[in-house]
Amino acid sequence: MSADLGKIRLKLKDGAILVKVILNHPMESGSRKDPVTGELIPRHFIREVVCEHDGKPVLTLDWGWGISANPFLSFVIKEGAKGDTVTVRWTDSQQMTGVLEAVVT
Amino acid sequence: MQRRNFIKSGLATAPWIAMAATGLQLRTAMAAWPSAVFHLEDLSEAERLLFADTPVEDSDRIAVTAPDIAENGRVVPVQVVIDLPDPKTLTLLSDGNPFPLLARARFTPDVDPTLSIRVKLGQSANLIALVEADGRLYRATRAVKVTSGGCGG
Repeated sequence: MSADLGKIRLKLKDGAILVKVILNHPMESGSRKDPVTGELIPRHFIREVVCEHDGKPVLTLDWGWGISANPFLSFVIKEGAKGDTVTVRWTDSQQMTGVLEAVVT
Repeated sequence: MQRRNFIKSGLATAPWIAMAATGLQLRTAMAAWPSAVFHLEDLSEAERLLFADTPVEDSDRIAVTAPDIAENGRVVPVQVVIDLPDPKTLTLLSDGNPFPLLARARFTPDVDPTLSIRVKLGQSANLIALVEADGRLYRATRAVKVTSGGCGG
C-alpha cells in the first residue's frame, strides 16, 4: 500500500474495531481559484466510499464537494478480532478509484 | 496549449492518478451516486428530493458535535452519534453552503450508527443531520459560527 493514498488505522477495543481513515484527495469544490492564474480549478471530489469488514460492505457513503480536502472518516465496527481485514474503497468524480486496507493487530 | 500540457503533466504526478493506474476497481455493490440532489442549491428542495413529504421529528437522540466557532471553514470536524432503533441512513446538510448536501451514509447492523468526518462551511450555518430509523425521519441541528469561510478562496 502506498503511503500517498492516505492512511488507515485500526484499533481493537472491547471487541470492536475503531477505524480512522485519511484519504489523500484535493476535494476541489469547483469554486476555488488558482492563486497564480486566477482561473477556477475544476470540481474534483471523492463521491462514493465503501467500507468493508473481511470483504463484506458494512458502511457506504455518498460525498459531495463539501467534504474537506484529504477527507477524514472515523467509524466503529461492532465486532472484530485480530487478523480481521478492513478495506476502504473510493471512487471520485473522474472515475478514479483507490483502496486502503489494513489488518487488525 | 503549453499551459494545458503543464496542467496535464502536473496531474500525472498526483497520488490519486498514480493509484488509479494500479487498476484497482471499486466494487459495484452500491447504489448510484445521487447527482441531482448534490447539485441542488436550495435546502428544502434537497430535503424534498431525498425524503419526499415524509414528516420530520426533531430528536435529542441524535447528537451532532462540532465546534461552536470554526476558525477555518475549510476543515470543520463533525461527529454524529445516533441513539435511535434500527438507523438506516444519515444525511448531513448545511443551510449556509451554496450546495447544502454534504454527505449521506448508509449503515448496516455491523457498524455503530456513529460517524466522524470533516466538512467545508462557506459561512456561519446550521449543520442538519437527518436520520432514517425504524421507518421514520428524525432531525437534529447544530449551529457553527465560521470566522473564515471554506468555499471560495
